[in-house]
Amino acid sequence: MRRVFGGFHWSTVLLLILSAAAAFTAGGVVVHVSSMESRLDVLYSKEASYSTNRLTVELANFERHTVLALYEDPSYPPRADYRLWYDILWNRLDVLANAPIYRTVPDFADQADQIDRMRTLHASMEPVFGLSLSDFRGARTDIQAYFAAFDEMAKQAARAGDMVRRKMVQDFSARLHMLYLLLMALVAIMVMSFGVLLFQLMRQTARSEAGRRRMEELSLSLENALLNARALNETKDNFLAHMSHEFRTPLNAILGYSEFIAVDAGDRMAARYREYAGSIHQAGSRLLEFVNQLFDLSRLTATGFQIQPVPTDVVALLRDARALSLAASPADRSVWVHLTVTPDPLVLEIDPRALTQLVVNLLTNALKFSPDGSTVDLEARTLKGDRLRLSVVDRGQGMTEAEIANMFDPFWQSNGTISTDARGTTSGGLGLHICRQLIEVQSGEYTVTSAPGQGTTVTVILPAPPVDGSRPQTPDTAEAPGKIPVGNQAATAASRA
Amino acid sequence: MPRYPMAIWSAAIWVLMVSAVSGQDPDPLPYPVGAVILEVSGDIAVGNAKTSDGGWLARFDLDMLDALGDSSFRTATPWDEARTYSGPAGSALLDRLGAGGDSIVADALNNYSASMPRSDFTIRGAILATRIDGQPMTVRDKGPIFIVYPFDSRPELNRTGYFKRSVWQLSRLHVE
Repeated sequence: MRRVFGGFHWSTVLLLILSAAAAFTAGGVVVHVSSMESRLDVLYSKEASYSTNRLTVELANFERHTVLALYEDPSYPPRADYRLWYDILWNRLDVLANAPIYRTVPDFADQADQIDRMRTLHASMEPVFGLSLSDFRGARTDIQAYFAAFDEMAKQAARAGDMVRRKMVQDFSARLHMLYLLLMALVAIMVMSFGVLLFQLMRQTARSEAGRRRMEELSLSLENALLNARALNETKDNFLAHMSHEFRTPLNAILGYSEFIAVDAGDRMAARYREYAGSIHQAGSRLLEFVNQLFDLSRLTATGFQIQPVPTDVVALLRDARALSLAASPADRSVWVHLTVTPDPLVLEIDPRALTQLVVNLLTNALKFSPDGSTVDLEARTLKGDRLRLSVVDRGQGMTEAEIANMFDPFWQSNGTISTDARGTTSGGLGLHICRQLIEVQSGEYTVTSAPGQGTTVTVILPAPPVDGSRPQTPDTAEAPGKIPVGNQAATAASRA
Repeated sequence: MPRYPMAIWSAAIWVLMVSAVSGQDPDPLPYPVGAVILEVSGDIAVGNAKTSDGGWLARFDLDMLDALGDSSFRTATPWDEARTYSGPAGSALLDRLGAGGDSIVADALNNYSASMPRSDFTIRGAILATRIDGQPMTVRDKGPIFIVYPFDSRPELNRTGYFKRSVWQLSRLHVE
């Protein structure tokens, strides 16, 4: 499940962004509403209505104290309470008439008119309230008329104020209503987008589930096909390994007897038939070489190129390899192999079988393309970093770059005159492919430098740590590196394989 | 001559002792001479009268309020154009009385009452204005005392809450 949801990270991110945007907008709207509310609150409704309410309260207090002075306690000494409340009322009317805050209230004119009339009336009564108590009591009728008129005007002012207030509340709630609608729309959009995303998510999940099932089926059938191919390949390798052996037994008979005819029965046969026997022997040798290489390749492929490095005397090994490759050359070739090993003696940790095969194959190839009487140099040298460098230098025809690029491919051979070796025969084509496999499996590397007419140098570098303290047995006959001619001795060994 | 230093030392020590003692006791509040325009009660350390429940009562006339210093500023209010208000800072009154408490209830002659936090006096710079444009305030002109905030220099105070605490015709403060 995690894998399925892991693929939909984008939708989660999108949802988060949408939610954040919606929350941000909603927050902005709320802040705006509250700020609008507080602004209206401060400027208009509360303060205005509060002051109007205070007017009513203060008028009632004034009336009460005046009535107390007039009627309820005639024997009481003059008290200034009604004068105080007269002044308080004066202040209130003054504030209501002049305060800047109320002038900003729309439609306040009606109320302001009432308040101004009240103020005039109130001011006109000042002489009455400034009278001494006895005179003051004598002016009862005036005072009663004053209160009646004042009450009426206060009621009208309050009504006007109420109307203003109601209108303001209406305006405000209309705007608030609009904002709430906006908020609702935002929430609805958010919910809708959430739903769409959820739907998409579910659809994608279902779709990817189907895709996953198809992929599983496909990979299962691919796996089966691969197993079949492997089994077939294995059968082929086994077949080749066995067949190579079956090939060699009759070939040895052909080679032996053809050589016997060519060499021993010479006197008793016509020269023409000796030549035929020589041709049979030569063709058989080439067939044998090819069969040997095929055998090597199939064996290596079947066993998987198992490399087992052991302490190895490289000098002795190279000497043996030289002897083997010379022996595999046709008997009448006269090519020299010059062996140089630095340092000498040299014992390294390396797979002797792989190294032997590598050197033999490279040498065989070099010998094949060397003209008669030339020298092939085989040089081994240790490099820094526990590596061994082998180089095989021949003086053959050389190759073009395109040919170098292909030379390690199986069954490759160059065309035309170049394809033929020094004696006009063609190569088997598997030896160098085996070489490449052997180099690669040992994590080695190789370079080929060549040019047409310049000869060919193949350099191989293999990892080969030195051996400390342990030395394998070296042959007693320490042969000095030098030129060995390919002679009859080699020719007799040609039937070795 | 040799006896003078001794006398000077004695006098100095005497002065120090007296000042130490008077430092322990708060400066006593004088009695009002003119008409009492403000009474302060509640959590205060000095006063010039006692309330019925035995606590201190500080009664002020205009001269006593003037003695607390003058913090004047010019500002417009919701109820008036820009005017110059003069009178002691609220914090000066609290300091003079050694007042504790967190809030103050202000009562006015017109039976209006409002409660404000102590910080209105100590931080927000409210003053007890006794004069408008240099003239003592009558009841008809929000007198005798008007709690005014510096609305113009501190625009953040232009809110209903502070308008409601701008008590005019102030007559009593109770510190809680």
